[in-house]
Amino acid sequence: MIKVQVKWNKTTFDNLEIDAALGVEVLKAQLFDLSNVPVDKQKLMFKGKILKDDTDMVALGITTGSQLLMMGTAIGGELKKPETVIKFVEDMTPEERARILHEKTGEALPAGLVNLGNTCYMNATVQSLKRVNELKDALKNYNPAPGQQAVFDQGTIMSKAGKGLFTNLDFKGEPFEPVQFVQAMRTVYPQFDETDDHGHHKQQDAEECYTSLLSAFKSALTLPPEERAESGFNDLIEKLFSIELVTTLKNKEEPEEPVEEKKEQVLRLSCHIDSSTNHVNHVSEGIKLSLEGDIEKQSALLGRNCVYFKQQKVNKLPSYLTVHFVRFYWKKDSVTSGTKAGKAKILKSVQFPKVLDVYDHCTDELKKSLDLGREFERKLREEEDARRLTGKADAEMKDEEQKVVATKPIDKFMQKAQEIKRADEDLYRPHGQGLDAGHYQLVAVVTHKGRSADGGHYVGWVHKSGDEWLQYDDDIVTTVKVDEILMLKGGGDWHTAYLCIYRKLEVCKPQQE
Amino acid sequence: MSEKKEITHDSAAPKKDAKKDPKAPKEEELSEEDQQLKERLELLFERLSDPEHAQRLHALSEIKKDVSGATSSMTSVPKPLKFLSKHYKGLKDIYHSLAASDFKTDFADLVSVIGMVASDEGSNESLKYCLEGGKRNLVEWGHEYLRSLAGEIGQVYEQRMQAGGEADVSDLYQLVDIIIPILMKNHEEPEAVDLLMEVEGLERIKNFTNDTNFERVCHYLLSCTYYAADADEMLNAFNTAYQIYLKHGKYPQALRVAQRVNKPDMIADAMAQCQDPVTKKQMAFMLGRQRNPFETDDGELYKIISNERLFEHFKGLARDLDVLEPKNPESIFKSHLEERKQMTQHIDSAKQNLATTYVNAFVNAAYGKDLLITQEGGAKADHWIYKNKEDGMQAAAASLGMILLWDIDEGLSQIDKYMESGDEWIVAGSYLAIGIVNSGIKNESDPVFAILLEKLETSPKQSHKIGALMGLSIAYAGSARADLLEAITPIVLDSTNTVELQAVAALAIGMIYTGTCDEDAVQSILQALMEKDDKLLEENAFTRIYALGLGLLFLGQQDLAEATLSAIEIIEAPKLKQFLALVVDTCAYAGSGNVLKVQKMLHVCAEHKKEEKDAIHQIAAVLGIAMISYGEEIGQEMCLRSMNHLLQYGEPIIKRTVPLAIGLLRVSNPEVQTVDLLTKLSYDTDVNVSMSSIIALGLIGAGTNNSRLAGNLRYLASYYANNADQLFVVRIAQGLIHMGKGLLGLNPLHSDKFLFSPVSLAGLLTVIYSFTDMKTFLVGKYHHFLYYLVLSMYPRMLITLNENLEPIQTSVRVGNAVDTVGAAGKPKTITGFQTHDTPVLLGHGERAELATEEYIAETPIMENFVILRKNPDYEAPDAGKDKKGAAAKK
Repeated sequence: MIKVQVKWNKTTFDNLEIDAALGVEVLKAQLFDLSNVPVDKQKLMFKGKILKDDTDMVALGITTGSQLLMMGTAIGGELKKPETVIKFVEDMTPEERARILHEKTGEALPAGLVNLGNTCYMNATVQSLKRVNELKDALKNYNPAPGQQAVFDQGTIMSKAGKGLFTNLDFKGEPFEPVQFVQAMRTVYPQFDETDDHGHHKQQDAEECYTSLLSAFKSALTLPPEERAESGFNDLIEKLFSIELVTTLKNKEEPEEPVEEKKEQVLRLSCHIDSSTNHVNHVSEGIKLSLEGDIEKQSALLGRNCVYFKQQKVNKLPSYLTVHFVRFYWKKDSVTSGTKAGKAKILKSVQFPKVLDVYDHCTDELKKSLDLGREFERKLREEEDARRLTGKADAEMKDEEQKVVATKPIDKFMQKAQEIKRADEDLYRPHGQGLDAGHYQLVAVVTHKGRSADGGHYVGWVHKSGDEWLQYDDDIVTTVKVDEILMLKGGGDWHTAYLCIYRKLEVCKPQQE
Repeated sequence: MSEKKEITHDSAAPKKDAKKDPKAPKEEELSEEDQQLKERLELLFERLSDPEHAQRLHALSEIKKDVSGATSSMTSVPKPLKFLSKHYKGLKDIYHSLAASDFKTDFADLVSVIGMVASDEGSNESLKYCLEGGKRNLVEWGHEYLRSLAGEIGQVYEQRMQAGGEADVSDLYQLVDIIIPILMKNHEEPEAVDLLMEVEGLERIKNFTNDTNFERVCHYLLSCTYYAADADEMLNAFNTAYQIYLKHGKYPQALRVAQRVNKPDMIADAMAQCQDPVTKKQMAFMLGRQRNPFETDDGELYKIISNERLFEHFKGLARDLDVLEPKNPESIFKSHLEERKQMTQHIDSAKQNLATTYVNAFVNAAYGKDLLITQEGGAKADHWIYKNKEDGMQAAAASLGMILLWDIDEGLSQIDKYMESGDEWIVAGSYLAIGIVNSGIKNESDPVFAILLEKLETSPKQSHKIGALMGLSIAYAGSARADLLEAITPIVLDSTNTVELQAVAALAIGMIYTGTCDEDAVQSILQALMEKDDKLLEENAFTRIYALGLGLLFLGQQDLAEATLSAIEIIEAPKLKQFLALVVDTCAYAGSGNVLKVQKMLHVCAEHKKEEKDAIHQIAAVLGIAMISYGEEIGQEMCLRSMNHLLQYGEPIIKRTVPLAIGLLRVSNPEVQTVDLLTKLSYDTDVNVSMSSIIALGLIGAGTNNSRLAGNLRYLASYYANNADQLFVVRIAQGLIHMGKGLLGLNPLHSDKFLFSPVSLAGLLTVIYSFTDMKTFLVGKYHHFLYYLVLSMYPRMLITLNENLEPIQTSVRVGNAVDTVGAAGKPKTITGFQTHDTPVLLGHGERAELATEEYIAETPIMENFVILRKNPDYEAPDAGKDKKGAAAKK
C-alpha cells in the first residue's frame, strides 16, 4: 500500500491509498468516486508519462508522497454542439446573403445594375423608382389576371419584366444585367431602341424613360373595383403620382371675358429654369414659373388671338411628387457664336430642399384643408419642445443620480440609431393615416452629368435611412451622406439633379410609447 | 623650424594642437618672461653636451624640472617643450653619442618626452626612447604623455604583430603594466580598457579593479563588445567583464553577462559561486525571464525559474492598475466610430469572427477571463467556438490557451473538454492551447509533454499532429530536450509526410533547440532539406518555415554556423541553397550588429531579378538586415535608412518584405516617423505591401495602447471595409496594439536592452516569416501561426518583491534611458522622469531607478522582478528631518 497525492485542476486529493499491484484501473475507479470524471476520460500523469491501464506504477517510480496529476472533465461539463449549424456569409451565394439580410433586418442589400450600353438612364430611373415602396411591392406581387394572359399589351409586358427586375434587385445581392427588362422596354417603346451609325444604342432621356415606364405600369396595375370606387383612382400610378391641377385662363386684353377654368391630371411638376427675366435659384421658383405664365390663344369672344394669363394650382396632392428640372432645350443655331442648332443643357444651379413645401402652389380650397394639418403640426411641435425641455431637466436630475449610465457612448449610439429608425418609420408609413400639411421629403434623385442631352451619364441617388443615401452608379453602389445629395443642385460639371422624387409627409399623432 | 611645422609633427598628442594658441603667428614677439625661459633652456641645452659630467647632470635635471613642471597644461604645447622641440634632433644626436649609463637612461626619458611633440608622425620614437629609458615616475611627465604613450604602444604592438613570427612584446607589456594602474587611479578606465584591448591583454585589467572603479570598467567593456572586430575579441571582453563581476561579488551582473554569451557553464558557475540565498532568488528570476534551461535541486529556485507564479504576479499587476475587467473585442474595434458601417454586419462572417477570436485572445491574454470563450463567459462560451468555421474553430479553441496563459491548473481544467470534443478542428486547437498555456512554464508533472507526445504518436490526422507539434514547440521552446528531438526527428525525415507537417516539425526542432547549434538537431533538418528542390521553394511557402527551423538552431551563435553553411553548399537546388544559406547566416548573426553581414545582405537585395520566383531569397536578405542590426541602436537607425532606399528602388518582393523588417526593428516601439511611413504604405495599391504594412503597424504598437496608431487603424478599417482580407489584417493589428490591455509587450530585448531572449526572437521571427506569404498563413488556412507570438509576449513590468518574494510597494523614478558609457563622474541614468509606486509599466527605452534609499535592489537593472532588501543605514525621512532641524538649532 502506498499513499499518493493526486492533483486535479485546483483540487488536491491527499493520501490516496493505492495498491501498486492492483494497477491503474483501481486508482481510476477511486478517482471517479471523488471527482466524477468518467474513468475513460481520466488522464493521469506522472513526471511526463501518461499512466495507462497496464502501466506498472512501481516501475515508474511512484511511491508514497508522489504527486500525480489528473486531467479530465467531470460528467456534465462536456462541450455541447449547438443544434443549428451556423452558416457563414463566406459560404453563401450573393442571393442567399441578400435574402437572409432581408429576413433579419428588413432591408435589402442594394444591388447595382450593369450598364448594357448606354442604359444608365434606365438604371438610374429604375433604381429611383424602387424607392417608391408601394409601386415596388405591387410590381413584385404582380400577377396578370388569367384572362389577360393572352393579351400582350404594353402594360402586361412591362409589368412582368418589372416584377422580375425588382425581385432580382432585392435578392440578387450583387450587380446583374437587366437584359429582360431592357428588351421589354425596347419592344414596347421602340424609341429607346434607337441606334447610332455604329449600331450602338443611343443615350436616352431619363425623364422620357420615367414617363414611359409609369404609363406602361398604369395600364397593368389597376386597382380592385371596391378600392377604385372608394378612392376614385383607377390604378395605382394614378393613386400614387397623379396631381390634380386647376387651370385658370384669364384674357388679359379683354377683362370682360369670363375666366376659363378646367381641371387636369398630371404625373409630375416641372421646374422651368430657362428664363431671362426671372432668375430661378430654387426649385419652388421654377415650379411657380412653370405653373404661371402668359400664353397666346384664340379667343372665342373676340375671335382673334389674345394674350391670356394662365395659372395652374394644385388641387389634389399626390403621395409621390415628382419634379422634373427642365434642363434640356432646343437651341437654335446662332450666327454670332457660330453654333449649330441642337439639344442643349442648362447647367445653372437650382437648389432643392430636403423637405419641400408646396403650400404656395395649392388652390385656396386645398390650402384650407392643409391649414388644418399645419395647425396640428405646429401644436405637435410645441408639445414636443415642451416635453424635450422638461425631459432634459429630468435627465439632468437623473444624471446626477447615476452619471455612469448616461455617459456611456454606446448608449448614445443606440439612442441615435433609435431616432433614425423612428424618422424612417415616419417617412415611409403608408399614407392615409394622418393629415396633409403640404410637406414632402426627398427620397430619390436622378442626376445627369455632362453637357449634352444626348450624351453624359445618369446616376440614381436613393434614400436609405436617416442621413444615409445610396448612390447607384450602374453596377457600383456606394453609401453617401445627405449633404452630398443637396450638392447635386448643378452649376458645374458635377452630377446635376434632373428628376427629384418627393414623398408626402403626413402629420400623425406620435405613437404612445 | 617654424611653429606650424612643429605642431604638425606633434603626432602623438593630436588632441593638444586642436586648441592651438591663437597667437601663434605672433610667436616671434615673446614676452619677457618667455624670452628668459627660452634663453635659459637654450643655455641648458648647450650645457648638455658639456664635457663635464656634473654640468651635464645638472643641466638634465634642470630641464626635467622645467618640462615636468609645465606639462600640466592640457590645451597647448607647454612652453618648455615648444622651445626644446627645435633641438629635438640635437638631443637625439647627443643621446646616441652617449655611452650606456644611468645618465643615458635618464636622458632617454627626456628625449621620449620631447619626442611626443617633435618626432615624425608614425615613427613612434617617443615610445622607443621611453623603452630605452628608466621607466620611472612616468606620471611626472603628465597625463598627456601617458596617453600619447598608450597610443604609440597600440601602434607598435600592431606593427610587431603584423611583422609575423613570434613577436616579442614583453617590453610593451612591462610598460603597459606601469601605465594601467596610473590610468585606473585617475578615473581613466576607458583609456585603460582601450589600451589593453589594443595590446590584447584585456585579462590583466582584472588585477587593477577595485570597488570604486569596477562598475565603470565593466560598463565600458560591455559597450565595447558591439564594436569588436571579431567573435574572439567580443568573447574576451564579455569574459573579462564576467570575471570582474565575479571578483567583486556582483553575481547578478555576472549572470547577465553569462546569459548574454549564452554559455551554460558560465551561468552555472555564477549560480554556484553565489552563496546568498536572496541574491540567488534574484538570479533565478533572471534565468526564468531568459528561459535558460537551468537545473537545480533547490525547490524554491526551481519554482522561480519555472515561472510558476508568473500569472499570479501578472494578475496582481492588473489588479493594481485596475484593468482586470475582461474586454470585449468590439470595444477595441469601436466600429461605431468607423465612418461607414458595413452592410453585412448582421450575418455571421467566419472571417470577422475569426478576427474577433484573435483580438479577444490577444487583448485578454493571461487575464484568465474574457467574454467569449472561457467558462466565466457563461452559457455563450460553448457557442463561440461554433461561430467559427474549421480552421477558425481551431483558432478559437487555441485562444483559450492564450487567455489562460501561464496558469497551468486552470488551463488544463478548462481545455480538457475541448480535447474530448469529437470535432477534428477543436481537438487540434486544444493541443495548441495546452502548449500556449505552458509557454515558458515548467511543471513537475510535465502534463504537456505527456499528453502532446502521446497524441503526436497516436493521432493519424495531420491537423492533430500539426497542433501537437505547435503546442510542444511553444511550451518547450529553448529547453533543448533530447526526448523531444527523438520524437520529432522521424516526422521531419519521413518524406511521405506533407511539406506542411515536415516544416512544422522542423520548426519545432528549431524552437526547442534555439541557439544551441546541436549537431543531431542540425542533421535531422538538413538531411530532410537536402531532398527538396527549387520548385517547392517557389510554390510552397512552408519551405521558408522549414529553412527557418534550421536557422533558429544557430540564432545568435555567429560563426558557429560555418560548418553548416558549408554543408548547405552541397545542396543541388540552386535557389533553395541560396535561400537556406541566407536564412542560416542571418539567424546566426542576429543581434550582432555585424556591418559586413549587413552589406552582404544589401548586395543580395540590389540584384534585380526578372521573375519573382527567382527573387524569393531576397525575402531572407531583407529580413536578415533587420535581424542583424536588431538590438543595437546606431545599427538600427542605419538599417532603417537602408530600408527607405530599398522601398524606393527594390523589386516588389522586397517592397513587400520591408514593412515586416521595419516591424521587427521597431517592435513594441511606435516611434512617430515609423508609424507615418507604415501608415502611408498601408494604403499601397499592392495588396501584399498594404497587408504587411498593416500588420507591421500592429507589431510596432504591440501592447502599447497607442492612441495614434489605434486611430490610424480605425481609418484603415473603414477604408478596407469591403476587402475581407485587408480588414482581417487590420483587425489583427488592432488586437496586437491592445495586447494584454497594454500590459504585455513583444520584448525579445530585455535587461536594459542588453539581453535578447533567443526564444522570444524565434517566436517573433517565425510569425514574421509567416507574414511573407499572407495567402498561406495569416489570411489563409494557417493563421494560427500567429500564436507563435506568445513566445515573445511578456509583461513590460517592474515588480518589487521583498526577500520572501512578496510584492512590496515602493517609489521608483521612471524616465528615458540615457547612455552614460564612459561619462565622467556619476551621471544621471534617466531623464525626464516621473515618480511612481511599484508595480509600474515600463515603456520602450525607459528605465527605472529606486527613488528611495529605504531599500537596496539586488540588481541594478530595474526590470521584471526585482528583489529589494532593507537598507540597514536607512533613516526614515521624518527622523532625518528632525535631526537636521536639531542640528540647525544648535
